[in-house]
Amino acid sequence: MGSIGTFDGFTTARLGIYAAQHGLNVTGNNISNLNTIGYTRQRIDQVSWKTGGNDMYRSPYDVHMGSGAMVTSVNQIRDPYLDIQYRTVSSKVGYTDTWLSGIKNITQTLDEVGKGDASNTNDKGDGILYAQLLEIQRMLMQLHNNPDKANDTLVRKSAETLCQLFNTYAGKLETERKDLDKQFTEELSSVNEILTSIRDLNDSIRKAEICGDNALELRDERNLKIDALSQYMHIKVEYTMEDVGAGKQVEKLTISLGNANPDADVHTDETVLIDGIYGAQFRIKQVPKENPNYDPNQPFSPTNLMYLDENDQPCKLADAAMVNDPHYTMEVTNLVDSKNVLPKNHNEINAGRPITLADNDLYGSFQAMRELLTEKGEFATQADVDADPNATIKRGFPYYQMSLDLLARQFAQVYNELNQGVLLDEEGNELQSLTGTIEELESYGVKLNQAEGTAGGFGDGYYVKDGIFVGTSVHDPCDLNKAQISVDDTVDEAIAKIRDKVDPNFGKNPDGSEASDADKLASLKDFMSQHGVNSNNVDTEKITLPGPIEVGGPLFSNGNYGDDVENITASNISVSHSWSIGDVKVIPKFKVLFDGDVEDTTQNTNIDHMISKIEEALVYNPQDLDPDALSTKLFKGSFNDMFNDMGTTLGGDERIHTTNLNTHYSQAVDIDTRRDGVSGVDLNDEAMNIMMYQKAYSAACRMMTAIDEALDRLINNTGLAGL
Amino acid sequence: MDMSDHQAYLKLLRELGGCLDRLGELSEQKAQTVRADDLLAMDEVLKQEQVLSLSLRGLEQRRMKLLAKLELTDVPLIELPGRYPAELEDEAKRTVEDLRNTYKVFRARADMARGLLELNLHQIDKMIIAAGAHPDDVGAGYELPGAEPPKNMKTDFRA
Repeated sequence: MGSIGTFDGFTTARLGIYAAQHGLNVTGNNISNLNTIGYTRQRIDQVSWKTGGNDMYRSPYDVHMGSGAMVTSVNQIRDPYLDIQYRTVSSKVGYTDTWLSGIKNITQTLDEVGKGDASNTNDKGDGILYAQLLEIQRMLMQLHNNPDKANDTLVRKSAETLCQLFNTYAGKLETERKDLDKQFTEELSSVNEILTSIRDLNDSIRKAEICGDNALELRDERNLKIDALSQYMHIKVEYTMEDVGAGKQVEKLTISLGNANPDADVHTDETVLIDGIYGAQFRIKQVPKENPNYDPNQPFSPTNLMYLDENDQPCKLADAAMVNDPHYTMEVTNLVDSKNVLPKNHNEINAGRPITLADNDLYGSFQAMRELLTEKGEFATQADVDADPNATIKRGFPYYQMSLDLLARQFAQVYNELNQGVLLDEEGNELQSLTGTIEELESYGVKLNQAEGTAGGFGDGYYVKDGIFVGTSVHDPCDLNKAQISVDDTVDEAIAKIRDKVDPNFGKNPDGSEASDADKLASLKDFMSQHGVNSNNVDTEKITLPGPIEVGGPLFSNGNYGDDVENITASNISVSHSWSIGDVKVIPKFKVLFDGDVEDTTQNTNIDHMISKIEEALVYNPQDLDPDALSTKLFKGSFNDMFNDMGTTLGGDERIHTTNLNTHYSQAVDIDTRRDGVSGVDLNDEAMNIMMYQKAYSAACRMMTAIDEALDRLINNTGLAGL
Repeated sequence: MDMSDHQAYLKLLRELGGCLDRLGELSEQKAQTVRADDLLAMDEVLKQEQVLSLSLRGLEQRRMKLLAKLELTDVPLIELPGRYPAELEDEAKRTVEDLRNTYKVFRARADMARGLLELNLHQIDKMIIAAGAHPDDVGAGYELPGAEPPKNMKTDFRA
């Protein structure tokens, strides 16, 4: 027979009441948090309690009984497997979602400008760019039929509109890219805030655990943060036990990058971001600001240095301003605690930090943003491919910007080349000379400028070609040409040239002394007049130009302030200054038949070429834009085909990412549903628990009453026989 | 070298893309059957998948032979257009790009179906453990995620 404590039953019943009450409280807490985001269902852990040990002289008939139920802890119900799966898929969702969003922004931009007003487009889906190309074609046809100044102006106006379209496209794409850049910086801050929060939560949870509290609510918060982090990048989450002394162990959370780089030799993709109470931060690698105008072929000088300082002035490396790496290379800083103190084993766990991450170490939305900001597709260089073998097939903003630039450059190049050359005779040989009035010569595209009161006081009215005065057919221009007098010459310089090349006594008095300045100027004007160069008869007199006779000039340049044809892009393409002021016009033809003596009724073949170029298939070579590009062929087709190809590429990428996003998203939903099934609050379960704990509570109370009655019987009503 | 071999290889790549496309669709169907807990339907999908896998293997063998014939055995897919005759370069580029995109979609769908199956297997494991079996005795019944297929059965689309 076991030993029975008289009042043991009360304790047992009381513990039952406590346990049931705890159960009710936890159930109530679960129900209260039914709609709390990130809340994990809790449950009580209870054990059967037994007091006392084995007696040395224990009777074999002695029976030990339990002494009730003890609530040891309140726990969460989570499945780590589901967490891992969810976070892996979450990074895929983040990656494809961000890519898709970026692609949609590009599509929207191209559509917004490309579709334009419905009245400008046709029913084939061609946009206003194509409509404008057709407009130029129409204007060129008019010019072909009647190559006069009015029609040239119409062609120029059309070309100006096309340039504005290019400028608008480029501007909008750049705005989108800058917005994404800003977003990336903001997201970088968000990621760092998440890392800081997780580190601080780790610290709080650790302290709570040391004091014996599971800190479940803090864990919920931490899990939410980890889930959020997993959208930004592929991560690996590990829980280990950490010895805090006195035999006490607490849980330690470690988060590292999730080995996303397909290159097995790269290990920076396993960099530790959180190590218990220590956390690292991300930052964009800083590089010295490069001087875009630095010319390596020129010697170093104060204006020709490789870098720029804070005031954008050329400087040496030591003084250079530091800016974000254009490749958005990421670095991971040292692991520090909340007080910015390095861990005791700093040399071990922070070895090699800051760690520069390789191009593919991240995954998730962070990586997608980096790729959208940097990937150039077919414009990728060897350095890009070295960093990422798939660089030539990833196409972010730079790809579309460079494609548009290449299209604009190709367009400008084609028409600039067509509009420059030398006049040819009927045999196709360089014309030896050409005679005609200013108007006739200009109709061939010969560029004759009126001098505008430049040095020397020659005044307006003199015609010049390439800075040299031109003569007329009435007077032999040889002496003038021989003298090579320029509009920039002063009177003395011009006289010196004439003395040197033509007449050594020019501008001198009969006695050989120097004439006065006024006499010199008068002599100079007389000399020029004698050679047919004056401001009174140049419009009517015929001028003979010696060959080779260069005609035309660039129609397009990199800005309207000059005729610079270098580095034309979609953002700077413009009608050249010379064309816009009428100094250059569209050259109708290069062949001068019959030496200008008979009216030429032949076709304006050069304009024909220009018209045909609108639809001609051309090769677009990425190296024309970036000599370091690996690929030599982006596309072959007409201008419009090239633009449409950008849309097709964009559409293809959008389709792939949409399909993949749907796939990843449905997988994430599947996993999250399962996770909710385990960790979420289920009202049915909780209702059952309420009833169960309520009954348990009632039963424990009833037991106490029963024991009370039993003891009452024992104390008050036992052994009273005969009283 | 005969140009028809080059064209034949591009045709083969297009067939391969078609096969991957169908496999991707089957993966979607497989996921649907898992969600619906329809074992019979899944069995049917698995049979179709097996047939397609065999034809995929046949295509792969043909691919290896053609590659050897074209002397392009060690050339990654991404570099293929650059090694093609100029007149076929555009077509090769389009074909390779299409195949890579198809593979990306297939990979995502196949991963999704596999992930879903693994989730269910994990749930079964938990039930078995809850029923009292020792965790060590519960085999997943499928290969671990890290397992690599034999090299001759592998196509490196990542190039």
